[in-house]
This record gives sequence, structure tokens and C-alpha cells, in this order.
Amino acid sequence: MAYGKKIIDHYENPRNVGSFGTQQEIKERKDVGVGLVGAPECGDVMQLQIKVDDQGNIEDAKFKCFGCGSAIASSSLATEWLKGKTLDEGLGIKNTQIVEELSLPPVKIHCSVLAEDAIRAAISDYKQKNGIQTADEAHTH
Amino acid sequence: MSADPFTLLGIGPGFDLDRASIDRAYRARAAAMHPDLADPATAEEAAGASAALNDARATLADPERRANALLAILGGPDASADRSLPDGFLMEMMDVRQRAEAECVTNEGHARWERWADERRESSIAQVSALFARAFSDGASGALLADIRRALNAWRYIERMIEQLDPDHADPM
Repeated sequence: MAYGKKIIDHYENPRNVGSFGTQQEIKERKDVGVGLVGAPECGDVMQLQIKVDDQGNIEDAKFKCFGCGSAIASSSLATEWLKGKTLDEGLGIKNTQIVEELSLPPVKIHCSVLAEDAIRAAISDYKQKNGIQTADEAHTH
Repeated sequence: MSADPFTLLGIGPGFDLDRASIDRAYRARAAAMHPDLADPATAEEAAGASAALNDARATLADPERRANALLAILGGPDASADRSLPDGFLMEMMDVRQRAEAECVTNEGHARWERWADERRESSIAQVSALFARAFSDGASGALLADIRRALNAWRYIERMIEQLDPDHADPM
């Protein structure tokens, strides 16, 4: 299968790999939202973190992904897109945009879904830490 | 819908199968339906049946795939329908994968994490075996099938780690 330039670039040079601290630190930091998600169909694990400034803008984002190239590229792209966005704008990122940008084949669409789930989980975690109501609070954890 | 691998091989559904009995059943079935490739009228159908038999053997020979096939027969959910995991499992996996990544730079560290993952595979097999035994003796309640699904979901992460620890493993894109 032929993969596009963009996905290979993100896979070979993933952007923003890392963490804003140890697991304990990022759990406690109020300016950091952490989204930890997994895909039981393949066993991939992805953690995405956002760092939010005083104005409520996402100033930085990082990720760690133990998964296939498409999952790594999807989360790498997600961190790039998140930077500079507001929380609401971040929630506006859809997996279909990731699919389009990276030209993901149909069998890899679930990787982009995982990235979108990670974004939502990270933003939800930040909101919860800071007492901001979320529309879907009832069924996130 | 194609028949399940147990039916195809004529093996009674169960989790605790040894390789020898799977191979024996396979050889018996394969001999009985050897594709007559000389006859173009039936060659395609025979080749298809032969491929299905091979798939069935491969599925049953792999404990994780066997467990998933068995759960489907019992009417349990697949991973997409029920994505639940044991409490704290994903956090533990993230932690383990990060530590393993840092320590696998040495042969000794790599061997240690391979042992860790192998032990978790063995405990997954034991756990799933006990759950299926209960399902067959006490009946497959929805709650029990959900327990099996949860155990299989966690097991997948362990298998994924084993795949990626293999130095010859090339991750597909």
C-alpha cells in the first residue's frame, strides 16, 4: 500500500513527543490536561497532554504513543493542530480531518478516532481539574 | 456467514485445547476434502474450503484468537462493542510501556521486559481459561461474557507489547 508523504514524515519525525512531567506530576498539574486512551482492537496506547495558559489557550501539547505508524502520525498531527487553539477550538478537531490530512486508508481510520478521543479526554481532564463544566462530563472518566 | 473454526474442524467448543488435537482434527478434515485441483469445475470451491480450514487451524492454534472465536460463539461482545478494561489497566500499561522503552536499550533490560510480558500472557491465559470453564459449567451469563471481554481486551495490550518487543517486528504504518 502506498502511503503519502505527510504520514511518513510524521511517523519518521514525530512532533512533540514527550510529557510535561512524571505521571504523578501531570496528574497534579492544573495547567495540564491528560488524555489516556487505548484501542482494544489492536492494543495501541496513546497519551496526549495539553498545557493551557492563563487565557485558556492551548500553548503546548505533547504525546506518547505505543502503536502503529498511523496512530503515531495521527497523534503527532493532533499535537501540532492543538497548539494555539482555545479549548473549544480543540474540541472542534475531528478525526475525519486527520484522515484527510494524512490520507489514512480505511483500515487505519480507527487510529484517527483514537487521536480524537485522546484530544477530548485531555481537554475534559483539564476542565475537570479546573472546575469547568463540560457537556459530556457524565460519561467521561 | 462462514462457520466458526470449531465447527469447521469438528472440535467441540472449549478454550483448553492442545496443539496436537487441533493438528489431528485438521489433518482428518484436510484429507477428507483435499481440493481436486485437476477438476476446474470444483477447483475454486475446493481451494476456498481448504483456505477456510487453514484459517480455522490458525485461529484455534493461537490462544488469543481462539478465545475471541469462543466468546463470539457464546454470544459475547467483540472488542468494538465493549471496549472496557480492568480499573487502572490503561494507566499501568502506559507506565509499563514507558519504563520498558527506557530500559530496553540494554539486552538485560529487554530480556526482563520480555519475561514480564510473557508472564502476563500466561496469567491472561489462566484467567481466561478459568472464566470459560465457569461459562461452560454455570452458563454464559451476560455479566460473565462481559468479564471475559474485559480480560481479552487487556490481553490484547499485552500481546501488542510482545509484538513490539520483538526486534524483528516491523510495525505496519
